[in-house]
Amino acid sequence: MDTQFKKGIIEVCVLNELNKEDTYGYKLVKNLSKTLEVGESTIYTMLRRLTKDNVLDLYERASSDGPTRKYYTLTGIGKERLFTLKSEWESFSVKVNKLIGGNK
Amino acid sequence: MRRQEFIDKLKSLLEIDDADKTSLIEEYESYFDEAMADGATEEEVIAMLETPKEIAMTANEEFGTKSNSKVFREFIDEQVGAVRKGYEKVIESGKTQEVSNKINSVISNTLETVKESLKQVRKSIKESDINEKINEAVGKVQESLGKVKDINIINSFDSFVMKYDNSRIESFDIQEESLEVKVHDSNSVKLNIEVTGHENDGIIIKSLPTTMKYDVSFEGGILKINVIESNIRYSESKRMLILLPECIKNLKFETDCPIVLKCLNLSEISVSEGNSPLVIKDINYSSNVSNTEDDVKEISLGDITVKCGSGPVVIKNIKANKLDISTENGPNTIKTLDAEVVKLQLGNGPVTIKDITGGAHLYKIGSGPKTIKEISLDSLELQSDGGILSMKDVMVTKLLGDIKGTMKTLKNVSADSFEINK
Repeated sequence: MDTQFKKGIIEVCVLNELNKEDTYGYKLVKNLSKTLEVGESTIYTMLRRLTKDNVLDLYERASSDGPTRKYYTLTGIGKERLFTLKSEWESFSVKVNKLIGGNK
Repeated sequence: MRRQEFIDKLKSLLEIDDADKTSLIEEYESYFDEAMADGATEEEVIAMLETPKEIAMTANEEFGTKSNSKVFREFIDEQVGAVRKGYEKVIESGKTQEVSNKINSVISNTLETVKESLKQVRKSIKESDINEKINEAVGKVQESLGKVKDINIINSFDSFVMKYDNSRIESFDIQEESLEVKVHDSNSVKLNIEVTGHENDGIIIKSLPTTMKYDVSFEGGILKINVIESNIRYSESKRMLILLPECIKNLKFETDCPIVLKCLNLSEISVSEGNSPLVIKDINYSSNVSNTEDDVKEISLGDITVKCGSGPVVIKNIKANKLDISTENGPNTIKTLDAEVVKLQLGNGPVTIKDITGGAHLYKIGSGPKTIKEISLDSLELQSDGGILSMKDVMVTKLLGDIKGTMKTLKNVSADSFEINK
């Protein structure tokens, strides 16, 4: 698959996961790799880039049984971005479905 | 492979900023912690992860902009090199005007494209996929420069060339009748601008080294440089270096700032208001060949006039027919001249004249200490207004001296005809 296209999809999934609840890198990688065929490095670099772009923010929280974890959370920009990407994706997928459906 | 080995390997392969590196390594360390807390061994965790090489590739591609800009730079340099070669050929062939008309429109289009591409590159830095944007930009520039090549660049180029060394182009702007180029000099040590312009076009070059402000304009074959501000200390490597194309015969210079001029071909240099350090060097005006109708080659030698104030002056490596230099009271060094007729009028500062060959020379020097050595001339007329005079290794057919004042040391001075009034 075209890497830019794939990255776009992964980004919307990352943002969507974080919109459900704040989480830490390891958990996010585990959750996403269940569904998406994606290497952890792609997710980690994306988290870093989105943090640099102020789409995500970071805070630390101690876990009950283990080490302090770094949690990612959506910023206001992040929420807007998720909304935009989601609506773009929906309109895109409707169009593509129409095209593919019409080929039957 | 063990955990530490994995992390070390990854660190060594990452070519990204320290902050990005730290963040990424932390995530991997925590991956190990979490997965091992879930019961996995180090080996098992490593098997789950991508290899350090794969990770580094992803991260370097995402964050490592160095290699991209390098690729872009190399590409531009290559193109500029090709353009320059073409230009030199045209100068040799003498068909500059014909060619310039032909190529003009292509150049405008190309610069427009370059401008647009650079805009996009700059814009893309704010966005995510720098890689893609840069490749796109390179593609566009490549395409338009390809067009230049299509018009047979080897025999057809007369426009402008820029060389840059650790500098980057900030913008191109095509005004109504002129081209404006801004160059940002990132290391402020060396900036070379080479303009090979058409006399008919107005070309303005604004160069912006961080420590100096100056305007360069080029109209009707005259290049004018106006240095507005300079914080650069007197050190040759840190001054503005201007390479002039052959088509420019007159240079007007308005400055109070330290300047190095490195000129290819000039008939007149005048420096106004100049009490600041000046260096003029590597002027060769002995090969101006013009073809007449009978195809007889006439060789005309150039006349060079240099006037400057009381700053330190260095004039060296000059080959000319006639040279007229006058300075005020600063320290003067005149070195390695080959000129038929020379008139030097130097002020009262310390003077060194060395390695001179030629025909008839007249040196009028003020009252500072003077060293004159390694001179080989037909005739030398020396007028000195006092001060210590030291002459060494001087060989002239005729020596005429009017030397006032104090100490004189003459060593290995020979002349067929020798006349000195003391």
